[in-house]
Amino acid sequence: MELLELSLLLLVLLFALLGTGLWISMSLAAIGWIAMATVHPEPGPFLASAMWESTGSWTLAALPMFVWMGEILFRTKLSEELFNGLAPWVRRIPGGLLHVNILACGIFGSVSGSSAATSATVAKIALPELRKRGYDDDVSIGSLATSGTLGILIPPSIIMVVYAVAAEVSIIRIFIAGCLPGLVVMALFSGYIAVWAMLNPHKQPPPEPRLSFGGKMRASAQLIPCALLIIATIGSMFVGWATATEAAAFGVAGSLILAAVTGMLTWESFLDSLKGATRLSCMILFILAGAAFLSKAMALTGIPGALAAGVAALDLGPYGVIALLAVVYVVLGTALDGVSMIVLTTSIVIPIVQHAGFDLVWFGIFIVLLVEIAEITPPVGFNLFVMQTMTGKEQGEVARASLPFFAMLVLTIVLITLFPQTLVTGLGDWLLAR
Amino acid sequence: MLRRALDALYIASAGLASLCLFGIFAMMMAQVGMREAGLQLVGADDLTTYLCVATAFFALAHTFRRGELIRVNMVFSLVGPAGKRVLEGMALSLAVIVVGTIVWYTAADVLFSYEIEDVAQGTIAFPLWVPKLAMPIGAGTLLIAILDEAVRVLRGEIPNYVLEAEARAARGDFSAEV
Amino acid sequence: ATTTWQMATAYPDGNFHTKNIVTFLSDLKTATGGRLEVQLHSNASLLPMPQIKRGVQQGQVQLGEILLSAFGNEDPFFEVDGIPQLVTTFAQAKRLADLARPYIEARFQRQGVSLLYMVPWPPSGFYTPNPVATIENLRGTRMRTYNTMTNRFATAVGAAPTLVQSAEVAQAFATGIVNAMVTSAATGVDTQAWDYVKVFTPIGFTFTRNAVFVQRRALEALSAADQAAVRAAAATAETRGWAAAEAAKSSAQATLASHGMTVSEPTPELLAGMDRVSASMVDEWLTRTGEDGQKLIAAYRAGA
Ligand code: NA
Ligand code: NA
Repeated sequence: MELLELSLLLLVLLFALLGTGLWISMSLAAIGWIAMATVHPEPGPFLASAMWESTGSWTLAALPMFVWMGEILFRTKLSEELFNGLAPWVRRIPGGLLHVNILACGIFGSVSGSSAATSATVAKIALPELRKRGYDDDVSIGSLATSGTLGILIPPSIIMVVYAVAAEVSIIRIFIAGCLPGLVVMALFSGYIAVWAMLNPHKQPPPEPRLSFGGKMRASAQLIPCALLIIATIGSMFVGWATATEAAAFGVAGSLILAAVTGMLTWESFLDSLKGATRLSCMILFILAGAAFLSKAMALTGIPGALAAGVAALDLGPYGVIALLAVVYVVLGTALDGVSMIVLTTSIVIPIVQHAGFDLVWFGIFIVLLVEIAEITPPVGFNLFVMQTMTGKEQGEVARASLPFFAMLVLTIVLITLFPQTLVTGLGDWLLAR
Repeated sequence: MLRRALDALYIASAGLASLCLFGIFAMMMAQVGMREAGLQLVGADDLTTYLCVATAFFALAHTFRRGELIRVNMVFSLVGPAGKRVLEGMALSLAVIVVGTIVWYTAADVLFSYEIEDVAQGTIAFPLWVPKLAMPIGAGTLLIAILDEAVRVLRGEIPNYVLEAEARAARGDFSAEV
Repeated sequence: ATTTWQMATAYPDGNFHTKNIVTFLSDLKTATGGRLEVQLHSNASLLPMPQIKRGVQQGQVQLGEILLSAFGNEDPFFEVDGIPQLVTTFAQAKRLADLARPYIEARFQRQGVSLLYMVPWPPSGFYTPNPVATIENLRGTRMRTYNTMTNRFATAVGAAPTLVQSAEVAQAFATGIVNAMVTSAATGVDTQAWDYVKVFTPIGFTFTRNAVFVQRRALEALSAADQAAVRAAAATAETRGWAAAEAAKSSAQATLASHGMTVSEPTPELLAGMDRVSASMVDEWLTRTGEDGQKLIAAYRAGA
C-alpha cells in the first residue's frame, strides 16, 4: 500500500512539474531525485551515472546518424520525389497520399532502429507535402506520430536488442518475429485511413490529376534514388561491410552522395543539416538521460516490481495475465521510456509470462508493441515530442490525433495474442530450420 | 559586450557539438573502411560513445535558447502575459535547481573518476575523466543560458526561447527547425 | 535494527551466477537473524558493469558483482584469469584463483572494497563455421574481440581482431563481419549461437571469474558477529558457485549439441599450438606486473 501511495504521489508531482512548463528532461530528473531520496541517502552519484550511461552507448550512436540522414534528405528533392513517385499509385485509394506516411515509415523502419528517428525523418519529408496538398492535419499528424513507431517493430530495432539481452532470447529470432506484425500494423493503419476517408469525404483534398500508365511509370522513376539509398543502407549490412549500427552511417553517406549528385548539396545546406541533427539529437538524448535517472530511482523504490508482482498474485488465466500486463505497461508507458520499461520489469515479468505458457520471443513482440503505444501516450512519449516540435502543436493535440492509430496497435496486440504461431514465431522457425 | 560574449559561448559550444556528431559519422565510416582493409580502428567503439555524450551535452545551451528542448505548454496557453511571466519565473527557477544539481554531481563524478584513475574497459584504457568533462561543461553552459533567460524575465522581457519558437511558428516553417 | 544494503549485478536472473547470489543473500538474512537485508538489482537495472565497482567504492551500493577480467585495464592482476590456456581444468582454475586472491584482495583493500567470493565461468571454446584442427586454421579469420586480452590473442594467432559489441554478434556472424569468436559454452547458449555458427571447440581457454565484493565501510559498520556471518555465507557461496559452474559446463555443451551444433573436442595439435601462444601471453602479462606477477606465476607453476 505504501508503494502505491508513493507512486500516486510521484505521478501527481510529475504532472505538476510538467504543468509549470519545466522542461521535460528536467522534470523527469526532479521526480527521479524525489523518488530516490525516499530510499537512498545520496541520489547525486546516480544522477551522474545516469547522465553518462544513457547518452553514451554504441547502439544509441545510430540515433544521431539517422536523424542527420533525415536532415540531409529534407534538404534534397527526395521528399518531393518520394511523393511524386508514390502519389499516382495511391491516388485512387481512399485517403490518398496519407498511405504514403505508412509506407514511408515502414520503409524507413527497415533501416532505422529507433521510433523517434523514423518519425522525425518521415514527418520532415511528409508533413509539408501533405499540408501543401490540403490533407487533414489531424490524420496526417496522428499517422506520422504512430507509424514512426514501426521503426522499433520492423528490424533492426534498438528496443528489441534491449529486450533480447534482458530476457536472454535470440536477437535474430526476435528481429525476424517483428516482420509480420510490422506488416499487420501497416495494413491496419492503412485500413483505418481508407475507412476514415470514405466516412469523411468533405475532409479530402481534390484528387491528383489522372495519369496514364506510362506517366505513372515515369513518375515512379523518381523513386529510384530513394530505393538505391535504402538498398545501400540495408545492403551494407547484408554484404558484411557494416553492423546494424554502422549501417546508419552508410545511410548518411548515401544521403550525402544523393544530395551531391542531384546538385542539392551546398556547404550551407550541409552545415544546416548537421546543426539541425545536433539539436534534435541533443533534445532526445537529454530526455533519455532524465528518464534513465528516473528508472534508477524506480529500481531502488521497487515500484515497477511491485506492480508486476501484483499481477502474479491475482492468479488469472493466460489471456487474463496478458490483458493485465498490457494495462500495466500502458500505465508505465505514460511516464517511462521504452528501454526503462523493459529493463525495469523483465526480471519480475518473465517468470510470470513463462508460467502462463507464452513464448519469450512472442512476448518480446508484445512488449515492443506496448513500447510503441508508450511512444504516443502523454506525458512522456518521444514520438509526441518529435511531432510537437515539428508542428508547433500542443502535446494533447498530437496525442488526440494519434488515438485512432493507438486503437489499431491495441488490435494488433489482440491479433498476435490469438495467433502467436502464425504471426510471430512461425516465420523465424521456418527460416532458421532451413 | 557581455551579450556578445554569451552568444559566442552558446554558438561555440553548439559548433563543438556538431563537430562531435560529424565525428561519430567519421569514426563509423573509418571503422568500416579499415576493417575491409584488414585493419582495426582501435578503441573506435568507446570513442564513438564519448562523441555521443559530447554531442548531447555541448548542444544543450543552444538548443535550449532556440526553444527546442521540449516542454509542456498547455498551462501557458491558458494564462495572460502576467501569468506567463510568473510561470516562466517558476519554470526557470526550477530549471536552475535541477541543472545546477546536474552540474554539481557530474563535476563530482569527473573528480571521482580522476581520483580513482577510472579507465575504459575496451581495447584502449582511456582515462574516463576526460570524456566525462563534457557533462559538467555542457550542463554548466546550459545553466548560464538559463540564468541569462531568467534575467530577461526579471527585466520583464519575453524569454529568447519563446521568441525564437514564435518566430518559427510565424514563418510557418516548423519542420526546418527540427 | 535492520540494515538494508543494495547490490548491483549486470547479469540476468536466469544466469547461474545470479541464482547463486540470490541464495547467498537469503543465507545472509538467515545467518544474521534478519538484521541484514539485501535488495538485489540484477540485469544492470541499477548500474551497468563498468559502473558497479566504482559504485561500491563510492557507496552508491554496498555489494556488487563484476567480471573481474573486464577490469584488467585498471590493474593487470584482475585479468590473470583472462590469459588464454594458462589453466585448463577446474582444479587448476581453483588453484590459480586461491593463489591470486591475496593480490586481488590487497588491491581491493586500497580501493575501499573487500573481496567476498569469486566464482568462475565455465571454460571457453572457439565458435567457428568449420572445425579447428590446428591453431593455423585461425590465421586469417576475422575474430570477434572486445578487450585488450582477446585483441592480443587474435593478433598472436594471426587473426584479424574485429571489434563487435555483444548485441551485434549474431548479425556480425550472419553477414560475415566476423567468422570466429571465443567464449564460454554458457554464453553460447545465452545468445543461441546455433542460429549463426556451426562448430564449438571446447579448449578451456579461460576460466574467467566473477567477483562479489562489499564496501569496506559498510561491512565494518556491522557487528563482529554479523561480519563473521557475512564471511561464512560468502565461503559457502563460493563452494556452491564452483559446483554450479562445473554443472553449467556439461549442461551448456549438451544444449549446444542438442540444437545441432558440432561440439568437437580439440586435437593435440591445436592444444600444443595454444600452449605456445599462452606462454608468450604469460610473458607479456609479466612485463606489466613486475615482481608480484613473477611470484604468482612461479607459485602456480610450482604446484603443477
Ligand atoms: Na527498425
Ligand atoms: Na508515453
